[in-house]
Amino acid sequence: MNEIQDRDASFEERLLAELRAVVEERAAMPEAADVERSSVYDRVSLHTPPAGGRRLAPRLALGGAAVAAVAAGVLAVSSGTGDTSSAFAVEPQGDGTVRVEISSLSDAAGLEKALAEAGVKADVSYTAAGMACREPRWHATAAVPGEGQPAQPAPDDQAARKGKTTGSIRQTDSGVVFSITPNGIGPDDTLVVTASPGPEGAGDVVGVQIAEGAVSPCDPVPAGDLPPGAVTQQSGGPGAPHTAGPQQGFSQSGVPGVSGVPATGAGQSSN
Amino acid sequence: METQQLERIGTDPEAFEAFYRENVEGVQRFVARRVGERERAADLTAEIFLAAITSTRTYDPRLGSPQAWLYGIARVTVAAEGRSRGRERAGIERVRGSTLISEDDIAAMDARIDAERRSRELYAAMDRLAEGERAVLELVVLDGLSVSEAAAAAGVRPVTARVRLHRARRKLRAELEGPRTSARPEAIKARRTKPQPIEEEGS
Repeated sequence: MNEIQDRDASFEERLLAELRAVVEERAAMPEAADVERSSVYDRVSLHTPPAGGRRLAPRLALGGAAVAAVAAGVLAVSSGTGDTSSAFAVEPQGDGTVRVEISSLSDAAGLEKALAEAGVKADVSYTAAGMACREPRWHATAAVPGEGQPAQPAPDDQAARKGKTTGSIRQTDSGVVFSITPNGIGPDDTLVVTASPGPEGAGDVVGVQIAEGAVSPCDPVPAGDLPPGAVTQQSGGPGAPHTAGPQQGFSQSGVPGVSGVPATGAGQSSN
Repeated sequence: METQQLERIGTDPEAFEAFYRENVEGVQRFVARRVGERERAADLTAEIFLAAITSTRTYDPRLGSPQAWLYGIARVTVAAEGRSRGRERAGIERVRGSTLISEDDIAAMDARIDAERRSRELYAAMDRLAEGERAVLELVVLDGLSVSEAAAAAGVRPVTARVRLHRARRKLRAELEGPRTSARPEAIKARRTKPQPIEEEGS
């Protein structure tokens, strides 16, 4: 930290000098800035633990332009302390699969790197609450880009057909877990992981997809008719109806490629 | 501020300075409406701008002005600070606002904090509201944002914001009309710039 204590300057000017130093540092080290961006961003957004310790039922599936929508799960943020060193775990298994666990939405770049080291080309994007990546991010052959039918949650079937993933996203006490088979992912394919914190820290939405071909960077846009808060309030506990209430229609005209249906592939069932 | 310029504040010191000068007073007032201690207010002001520097990718011009975006960041930052106070604060503390305060600043900071006393009482009274309702209400009532700006800052649809605002007002009014409050319900009405159409659920 710079020690700027100009006696004549006001607090505002001194703060500006400090912050300018941060910006200059970032300008000089774009890569470091990226890492920092995700971790700081996480600090801001993730430290919003559940107001009442609510557990959140799985609530949406990402699909649409996805070639293979594996599943979507909900990452319950149980703690406000974001230790980036344990934000994720990438563990190659004996059977050739790679087990991925995401325990907090921080260090997207680190997860990307860890996946690359495990032989999986990945694109990991964490967006702010209420935001989603603009779709489509890649040209899918099996889906209509943009408009059209959201993929219905038959993620396990799709995944099995593609042979690229094993199982589905499961929710554990510490986060979400899924497995992938690097050999099943083609040289031009990219594992696309997107996640955004739920509002009020009630739970985070994690989507895992496999894209064929180039993937454009995540361009965060408002999740539009997919207000996570609206759904959150519907799922106050086991047995809470997903389809009742004022937000019933929210999924009908939402973000292209994102459907608001509960993810059947996720581990926690609420009905 | 132009969108392109906002995108640059994370890496362009000049763009950041312009953004900072444009918003530092607003951010400090925002904080003072919520926090009554000088050091905390200074720390939070620094944190909010740091978060803005590192989150420019989350700004979407179609959702609202850069100010609404910044208010969204500010709100989350203040809320997170409130919850994590007393616990070990995770994350960076590379710029600690409180270390930058000098004797000369104290009067100005205290004046700002004093001026917002009533707002803080209101803010405290909002504690019992559901978080989503409170978010919208505080942005509209405390910070004077329009409903659509508040929706953008809170990350919800305008219609959702309107419903929540209506519920929050109703609850808070009932709360404030109770015997134990010091803030009066007129304060809420007075800050309401114009009538907002209320859309009840199901309609």
